[in-house]
Amino acid sequence: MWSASGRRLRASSANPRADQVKPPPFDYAKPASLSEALELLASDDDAKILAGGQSFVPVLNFRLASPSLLIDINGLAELGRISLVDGGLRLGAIVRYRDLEDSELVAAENPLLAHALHHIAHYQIRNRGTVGGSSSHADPSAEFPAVSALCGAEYVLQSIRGSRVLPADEFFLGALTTALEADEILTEIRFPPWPRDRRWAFEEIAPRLGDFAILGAAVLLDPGETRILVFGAGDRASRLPRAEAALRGRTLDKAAILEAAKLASEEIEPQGDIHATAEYRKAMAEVLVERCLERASGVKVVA
Amino acid sequence: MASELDVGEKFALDGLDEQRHWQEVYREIIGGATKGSDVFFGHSIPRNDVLYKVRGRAKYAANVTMPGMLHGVFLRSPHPYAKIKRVDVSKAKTAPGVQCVLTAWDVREEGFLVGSLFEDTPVLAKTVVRHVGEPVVAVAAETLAQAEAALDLIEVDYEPMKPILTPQEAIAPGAPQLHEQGNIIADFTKTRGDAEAALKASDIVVEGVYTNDPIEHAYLESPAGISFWDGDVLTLLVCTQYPHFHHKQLARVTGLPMEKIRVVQSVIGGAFGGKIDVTIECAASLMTMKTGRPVKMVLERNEVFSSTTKRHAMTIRHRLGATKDGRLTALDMDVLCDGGAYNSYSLIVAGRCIIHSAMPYDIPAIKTHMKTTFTNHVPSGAMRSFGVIKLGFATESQLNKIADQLGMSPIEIRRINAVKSGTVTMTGQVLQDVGFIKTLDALEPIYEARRKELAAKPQTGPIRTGLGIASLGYGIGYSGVRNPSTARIEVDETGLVIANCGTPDVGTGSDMALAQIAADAAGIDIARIRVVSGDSTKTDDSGPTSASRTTYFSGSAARIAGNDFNRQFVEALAAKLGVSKGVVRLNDDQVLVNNSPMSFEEACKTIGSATKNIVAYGKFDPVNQLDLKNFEGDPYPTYTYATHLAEVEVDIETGRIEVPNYWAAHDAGTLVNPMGAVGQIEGGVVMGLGMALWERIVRKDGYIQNPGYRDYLLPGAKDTPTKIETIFVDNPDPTGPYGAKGVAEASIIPVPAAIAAGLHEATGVRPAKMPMDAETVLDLLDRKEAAE
Repeated sequence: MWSASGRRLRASSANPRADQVKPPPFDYAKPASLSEALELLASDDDAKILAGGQSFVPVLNFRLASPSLLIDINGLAELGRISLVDGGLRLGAIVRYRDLEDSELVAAENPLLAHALHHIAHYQIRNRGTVGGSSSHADPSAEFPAVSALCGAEYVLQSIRGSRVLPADEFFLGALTTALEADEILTEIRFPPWPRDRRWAFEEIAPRLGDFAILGAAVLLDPGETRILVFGAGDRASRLPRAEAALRGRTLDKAAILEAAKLASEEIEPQGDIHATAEYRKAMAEVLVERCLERASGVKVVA
Repeated sequence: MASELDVGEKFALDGLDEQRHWQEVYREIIGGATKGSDVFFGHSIPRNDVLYKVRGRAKYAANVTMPGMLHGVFLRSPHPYAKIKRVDVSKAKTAPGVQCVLTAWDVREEGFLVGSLFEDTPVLAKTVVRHVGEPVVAVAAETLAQAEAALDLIEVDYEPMKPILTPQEAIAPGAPQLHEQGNIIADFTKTRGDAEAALKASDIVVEGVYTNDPIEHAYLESPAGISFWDGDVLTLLVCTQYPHFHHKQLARVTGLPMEKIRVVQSVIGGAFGGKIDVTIECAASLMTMKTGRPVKMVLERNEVFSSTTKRHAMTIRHRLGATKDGRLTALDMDVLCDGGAYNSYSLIVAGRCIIHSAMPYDIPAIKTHMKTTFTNHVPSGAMRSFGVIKLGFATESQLNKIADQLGMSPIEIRRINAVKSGTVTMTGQVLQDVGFIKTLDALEPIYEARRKELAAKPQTGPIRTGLGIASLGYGIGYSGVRNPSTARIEVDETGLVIANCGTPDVGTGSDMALAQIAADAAGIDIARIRVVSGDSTKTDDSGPTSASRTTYFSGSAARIAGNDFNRQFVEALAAKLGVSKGVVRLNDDQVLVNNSPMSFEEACKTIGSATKNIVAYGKFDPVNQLDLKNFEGDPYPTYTYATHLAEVEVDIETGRIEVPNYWAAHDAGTLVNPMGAVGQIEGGVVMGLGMALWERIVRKDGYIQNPGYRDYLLPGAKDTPTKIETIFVDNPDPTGPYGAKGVAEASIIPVPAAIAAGLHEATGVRPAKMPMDAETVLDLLDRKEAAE
């Protein structure tokens, strides 16, 4: 392994094995501090950040990207912390899914997130994948961005110019698109405190266990507010204002649940692909939102 | 390199030292597995190849490098059907690192067309391309990147034509003819009695149309090989099911005499019928001849999807009649089949399907018709079960329908109609030693007990549970033609025994089975035996490893050769010692001369250089003749049978199916290696599950939409049943080696039908289309609801 040092290792064109590897040639640096990483990123327009590599390494291996410099932030211990600040869970960008699965703090402070983790790919991938990497990649069917959006998490972005904090719905702009500027690194994700009387549910359907979701849904039930979200149905995970509005001020009974589920199906405009038609995704939105509301509320809709 | 290949063909490890190391490790494992027994047959002996495969030490063709080696790549057709107007490779020829650019004009006339059954496929396309992915130009360069870069410099002018994308279009009047032979690959009809009249007279007739999407073999290792000159012998190390085929074909393609060619099977990462045709063999060899240098070619996975054979897409129209007491009266089956752009094994698939129309049932009146056409899709070819899985899906589903309508148990209706010893099949063959009913008997108590357990569970929420039954009967060996296997056993002065067997191990563990059989027949320790099975110069052409034939055919040959070895060895030793051969015995790896013991090594040393005169030979060539026009005769020497039981859970709101439990009862004769047989059946069940629930090649306008494993969905470990229980019934086959016969291939056949039956019991819907993915099932459930 490279020792922690910001030294930029040059890709050698003289390397006889250069064409025996899958990715295109790139320079490599493993900075010892965040400030060093930010300097490197600012110094090179075509530099890219490497976190867990869950999505980016395949992109490199298929040569869909050819960055001039890969800045490996896996050595930055300050980005690997799971902590509780002002009652809210804070996750450093290179916290791995596996770390979350093992964390009692996460189980206690965000049981929805702890549950959703099991739907993220396979444990071999969860050993590598990071929350920051997944969020920066912004796949519309990814679970972590969906949970963060539903919980109203905030994203901390840093560059040599300073730092800014964006709510999830301003961070995620579309499919594989975020508000990150070229010189910015996502450093932390901040969840608001988890109310003790909150109820929740999460449902997902995928062709096989661990696949990208065909469709997923999650709900949060707080006194006076119900939040409903689906993912895999559009260019990003999104809350469903009409379905949520239908439940505002209402007792969550069978009729209310069925109505909200129906609205959920109506208000999304999913795309069809080879794994599922748009119609199937709409139908699943109704089923999964109904199941989420049923599970979270304890109301039996189907006997 | 030559010497290394000579001693380590199959293992392709890092030289002799490493090979010796593994043999030592392996010797201990065998000792443990057979402790207390004096025979190897019937024991669960672990395979030697897994030792180094699981440690990542096996060298597949893609891992082999040689000094001066070039890397070869193909330029492939981007059109489903087009005329080639011009091919200009001048810029590519002068590109950095490029050593050879091969076009159709560089291939000699006599070797221009190649193919497994019919020579109809250009080594490289010249005037026309018939499917997306067809090779047009091959390039070899110093590095892979240089070869790939050169492809971009090749200019090909195409004149695209309207492709034929379905068999229906291919047989429509006025359709363009894709080949000189027209658009028809096979058009077979077989009748027995008057099926139409028998259907009219039946108490009950069920009808159905069954379809499937094409699927991919999905072997882990992409086709790969390396060609090189070994002295003046053009040598090809390649992952293949049939080295002898490539040997003969290369003689024609290259113009070299047979003795100047050698084809050696590399360590192979799965095949399933997908490594039986031509991929890289001809292009790599021709480029070695042009450059004098080793040329390695490894297909990318998207090339595997776009250019290698697929399982046929079929449309099966099916009518099945029965009396009200459940006796089948008549079958009418009409199959239309997409053969793709070239012949490959389509004719064999059609023939086997016709013969298996009624299997494993005794049906008095049959009319079956099968038509396979060319289309502008990638060729369809051989794949595990040669098409019978689709017939099984149709016939087993239809039989289950009749059982339900008559209120009969699915086991009982099978028992009533099962073929038995003495049953005359529709081709006129009298079946012998049939173990089918034994598989029903074995499963019945499990089925009844599980039914009671499930019935006691209240079905609440969206999950419904059901049990489904399906069976199979499958012929062992080629369909209706002689297909002998041979084996030769030799020994040297040190006691090393080489068994040269004609059919290569394609990852099933057949080398192990052959070693077990040969060791017992020869009377020696299995650890002495090295099986050499994938070398076209070391063995006779014994046909490909396919059609469930290796254990039965090559196993029988190995047994005969083993017995012959014992006789010759005893004679040689007696001659050397000047004693009568009657006082010399070789048994349990122990030599006795006048009742005084001598070790095997000692005996070999005593025989000395005369060991080279011991060349034991075995040939197994059962007489199978079928009139392929009228389908009359004995197509196979024997058959394997099975019945499967699937427990299916369906989420009726999402359509998602899970299969938590699965039971498979097989008649495989006597087992050579139970551990290996169980592994093969579990693999067959999981492969069948993939075809039943997820796998499909999605095509649009002649283009494959999902050419990779992200979008082509195979079952993973988490998707497989929690329990797969394999049961072998006791039914030795007196015609097989020590009672054994083939088993592995056929285990895939009943899986989709068993799952479909379970789905029906759970929900009342009957799928007629594979795969039964969640959306398909939900659609069926919605339609049923709408109809009610």
